[in-house]
Amino acid sequence: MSYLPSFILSDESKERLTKFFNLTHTAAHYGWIPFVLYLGWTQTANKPNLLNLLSPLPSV
Amino acid sequence: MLDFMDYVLRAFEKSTSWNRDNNYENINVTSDTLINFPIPTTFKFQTSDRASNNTFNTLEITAHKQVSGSLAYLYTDAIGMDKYIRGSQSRRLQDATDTYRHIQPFFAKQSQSLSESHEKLQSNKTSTNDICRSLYYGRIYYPTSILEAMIVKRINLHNQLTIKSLSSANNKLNVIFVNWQKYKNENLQELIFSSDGALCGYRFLHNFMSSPSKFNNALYNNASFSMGGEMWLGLSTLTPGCSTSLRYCTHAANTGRPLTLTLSWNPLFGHISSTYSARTSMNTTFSARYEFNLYSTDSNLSFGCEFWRKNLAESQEINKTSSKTENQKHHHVVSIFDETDYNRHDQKNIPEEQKKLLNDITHTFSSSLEQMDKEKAIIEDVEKKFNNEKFTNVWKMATSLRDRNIRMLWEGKFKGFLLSAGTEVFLTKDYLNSVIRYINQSDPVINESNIVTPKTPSPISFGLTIQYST
Repeated sequence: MSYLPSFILSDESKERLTKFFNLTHTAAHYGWIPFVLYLGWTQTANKPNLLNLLSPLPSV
Repeated sequence: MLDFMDYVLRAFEKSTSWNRDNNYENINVTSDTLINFPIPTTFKFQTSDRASNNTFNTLEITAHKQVSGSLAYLYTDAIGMDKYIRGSQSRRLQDATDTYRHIQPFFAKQSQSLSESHEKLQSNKTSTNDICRSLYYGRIYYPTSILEAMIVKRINLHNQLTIKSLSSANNKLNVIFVNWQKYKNENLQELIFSSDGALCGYRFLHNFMSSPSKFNNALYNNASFSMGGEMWLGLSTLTPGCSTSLRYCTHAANTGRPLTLTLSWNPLFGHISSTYSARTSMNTTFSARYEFNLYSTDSNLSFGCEFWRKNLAESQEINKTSSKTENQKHHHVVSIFDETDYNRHDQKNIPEEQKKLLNDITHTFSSSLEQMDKEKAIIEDVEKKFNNEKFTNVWKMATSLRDRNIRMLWEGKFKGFLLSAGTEVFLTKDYLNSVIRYINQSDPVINESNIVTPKTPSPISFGLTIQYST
């Protein structure tokens, strides 16, 4: 946002937008894998156990 | 050895009838596989499991100076994934590793996919819904906590969208890669955008020979000819890039063994590369590549080969059973008109006169048709035999004259585990000089006190990968 001149966006708005983008990025970063797991859980008919879904080990 | 998630991605493409050989990116894939095969440089252990038919997960541990790893999850709603994905115990070695790509000609592929989709339409009305499926993938690395995310969405029969992303927790690395592919008629077009340097790209590949009769050297012709190109522009630095390639795939007339020839040219860097790859026998594959730079006149010649090996006791049993079935099987005359789909369904509607005419033509050309049938059977048998073989391990070797290196890779199955071990040795000038001095030692002029022994070439890299999946 720093490259935008101040008459387009005030410094306060730029700061808010930067905070918003950072928050979105953090949410997407940590939320992506739970989202993939959630999709797998909801779209499977027999609703597998959470431990089964998470564990890559074949014995579980 | 193919990563498990790559294996799942390929199964997704098979399930949605997407042909990866039509991508310009894969135009040189055979020679790259045989010469530039990846060699493991660390100790890596990978275990994979599927929680359901559509959910897959992988844990990877790498030991190189320090222990690192990654955890990956994948979900896809594609239909019939269980048909394509097998555990490491039952997976064929041909599917577990990259090898010679048998390129089917456009018309054969098209008629095959058309008949498949026609059958699907007849059996199930919602065939388009079966194809328009998605794949979601996420992998997080330890200790860097970098996230690798990917979405593959088949929009409709002709379009596919791929979005990839790399993201780090501390905001230092954020890259988004968008790739839109459109395959229609004989062309595959791709639009690519990468946020790293605002890189924009356009790639296309055109398949020539849309009917089998255009290149009629042999009675049955299974050759394919493709031409493609790519253009890149980095918007932030205004750096351009481009290249163009030709690919010709055909079969040896007598043996039916496939061979591929490619020619690539990069006009900006003046780089020309030509390759010749062939499956010389059922167990061996060979590739040669010659590169030349027009501006610097640098050249390089590289060779690569593969030796597939199988359990002798098992293969003898298989040969006995297959020879029995082959004896029972006999070739039959295939009418030209059987090749087309319309005839299969509308045969009843043909009037009597036309039927008689067709029978007369079939009778007149029966010897040619028999010959064509034989040629077709020989070509198809080579690929079928290779795919049905139970190989236990494969040796891959490659060398390059300019780089003076020898690359070796062994891949095989051991008690349900897929193993891959490889090394790369550089024959440096010091090593070669020491060998020359050692050879010249027998010269009587040299004093006995000056006896030299050749240096041992030190392996630059060595690694082992172990994979297990259920």
